[in-house]
Amino acid sequence: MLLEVRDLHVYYGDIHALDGVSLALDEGELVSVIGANGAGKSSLLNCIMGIVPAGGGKILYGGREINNVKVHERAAAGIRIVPERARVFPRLTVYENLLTGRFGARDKGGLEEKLEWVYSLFPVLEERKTQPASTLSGGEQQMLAISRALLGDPGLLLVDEVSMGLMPLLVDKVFEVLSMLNRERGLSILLVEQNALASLGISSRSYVLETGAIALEGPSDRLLEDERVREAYLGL
Amino acid sequence: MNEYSITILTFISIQAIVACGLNVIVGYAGQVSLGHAAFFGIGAYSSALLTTKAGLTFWGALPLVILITGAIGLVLGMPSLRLREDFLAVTTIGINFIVESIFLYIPFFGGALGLGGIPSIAAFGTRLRGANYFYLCLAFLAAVVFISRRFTKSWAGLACFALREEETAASSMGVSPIRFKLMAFVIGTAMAGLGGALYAHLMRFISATDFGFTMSVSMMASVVLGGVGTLWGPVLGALILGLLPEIFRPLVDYRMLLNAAILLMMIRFQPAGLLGEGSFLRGLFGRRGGGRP
Repeated sequence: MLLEVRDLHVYYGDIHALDGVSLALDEGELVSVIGANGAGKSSLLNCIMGIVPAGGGKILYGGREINNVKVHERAAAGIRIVPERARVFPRLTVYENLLTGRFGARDKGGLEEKLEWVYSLFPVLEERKTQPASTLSGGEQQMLAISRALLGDPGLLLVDEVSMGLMPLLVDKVFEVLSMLNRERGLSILLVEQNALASLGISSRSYVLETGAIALEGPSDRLLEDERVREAYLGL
Repeated sequence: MNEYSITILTFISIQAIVACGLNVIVGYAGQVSLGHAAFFGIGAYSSALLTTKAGLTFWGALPLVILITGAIGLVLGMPSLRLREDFLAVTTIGINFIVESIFLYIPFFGGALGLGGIPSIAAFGTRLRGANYFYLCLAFLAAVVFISRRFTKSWAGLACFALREEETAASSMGVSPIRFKLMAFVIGTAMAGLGGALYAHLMRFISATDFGFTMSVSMMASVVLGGVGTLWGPVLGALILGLLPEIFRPLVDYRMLLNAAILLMMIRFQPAGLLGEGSFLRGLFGRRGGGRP
C-alpha cells in the first residue's frame, strides 16, 4: 500500500471533523473521496499532508508512519497537494510559482523538460508565464496549482476540490488531465470532490464521506449504480 | 562638498546599509522585526571591543564582527521565528531592550560611559576621514545592495517569497519555513553588524542609547517609506529620512514624531512604499528600481 489511513481523527477545538476514517490507496491508483460540504474531505487531505494535526489514528506512507513528520518533509517524501482554491503565490509570476514546485523534488535535474511537459498539459501557463499569478482566472490558477505540484515529481498527488467554481468545460479539461496522468504516467492520485459524477467517472475506487466518517466504499462504477449515492450525490 | 554634508551623507549610507538588512528580513521573508537596532549595536560594540581590547585592525575585526552578529541573529532568531507575526514583533522589541540594557549595565561594555578610543580606519597607509570614509561606506552599501539583489534571484529568495505569500502552500511544496526565515534573519542581522562597525569607527565613541528602540523604529520607517521588499527602497527611505531634518532644521527636535508620522502616512496612503507596486513614483518613472514586488 502506498497510503494507508487508519482510524484517523481530526479535531478543531470542540469540533470533531474526522471521526475514525480508514482508507487505503495502492501505487498507481486513482481513488476519489466524495461527500457534501463540511463532510471532512479537506480535513482528510490536509491531515495527510500534515497541515492539520491528527488527533488520533495513523497515517502510513510507503509503509512508514508519518504522523509526526513535518509538512515540508512529507513534501520531500513525495506527497504533494493541489490545495482547495489553488493557493498560488499571488505576487510571484506564473513561472516563479512553477519553480516553487521544485523545492522538495527528489530528482533535482531536468527542470526544462518538466516545464515543457506541464506547458504541454496547460499551454495557457506558458503564454502567461511572466504574469503575476493573481492575474490568472480561477481555472488557470487551478491549472497552475496542479502543474506546481507535478514539478515536484509527486509519488502521491492529493487533489482538493479542484472543480470548485470552475465552468463545466474547464472541469472536464482538468479531470481529463488527471485521468491521463494516472493512466499514462501511473501517478497515484487521491481526489477529494463535491462533484461526485465527474470524480466517480475517472476513479477506480471511491469512498463516500459523511459527517467525518466513511459511509460507503467500493469500485466507482458500482457506487454510480448505488441507490443512496444516486439520490444523495448525483441528484438522480 | 563641505565636511558637514559629507558627514550627513556618511550617516545616511550607514543607515541605508542597516535598512537594507532589515528589508531582507521584513521585505523578503515577511518577518516583522522591531529590534533591528540591537544587531546594529552588536556590530558596533563587537568592532569597538575587538579593535580597542583585542588590538585588531578594523579590517581584521570586520569578518569577525559580521560572523558574531550573524551568529547572535541565528541564536535569537531560532526561537523567535517560530512565533506568529504579532508575537515576533513584540519579541524583537524585547530583544532590543535587553541588548541595550546589557550594553548599559555591564561594565565590560563600558556601562553608561560607553566605549571610547575606537581607532579610525586605515587603508592604503592613510587614515580614512571625510570624503574617503564616505566612499568606503558607499562601497559597502553597493555590496549590500548587490547581495540583496543576488538573494532575490536565488532559490533561497524564492523560498522566502513563497513563505511570505502563502506559508502553508510553500511548506507543502517542500520549503522548510524555519530554515529560510532563519537564513533571511541571519543575512539581515549580519548586514546590520556591518553597519554597526562602520558607525563605531566613524563616531569613535559609542554608547548604549545609540542603539535603542527609537533607532529600530527609524530603520523600519526607512524601509516602509522607500518600499518594503523593493531593492532600492531602503536606500531611498534612509536618504529622505536623513535629509529632511537637515533641510528643515526645526524638524531635528521632532525626529521621532517625523518617523512615526511618516510610518502612519505611508501605511495609510502608500502601503507598498515610494518604490513599491502601485506607488506614484513608479507611475512617474515606469517599472524601474523595483527589484521585486
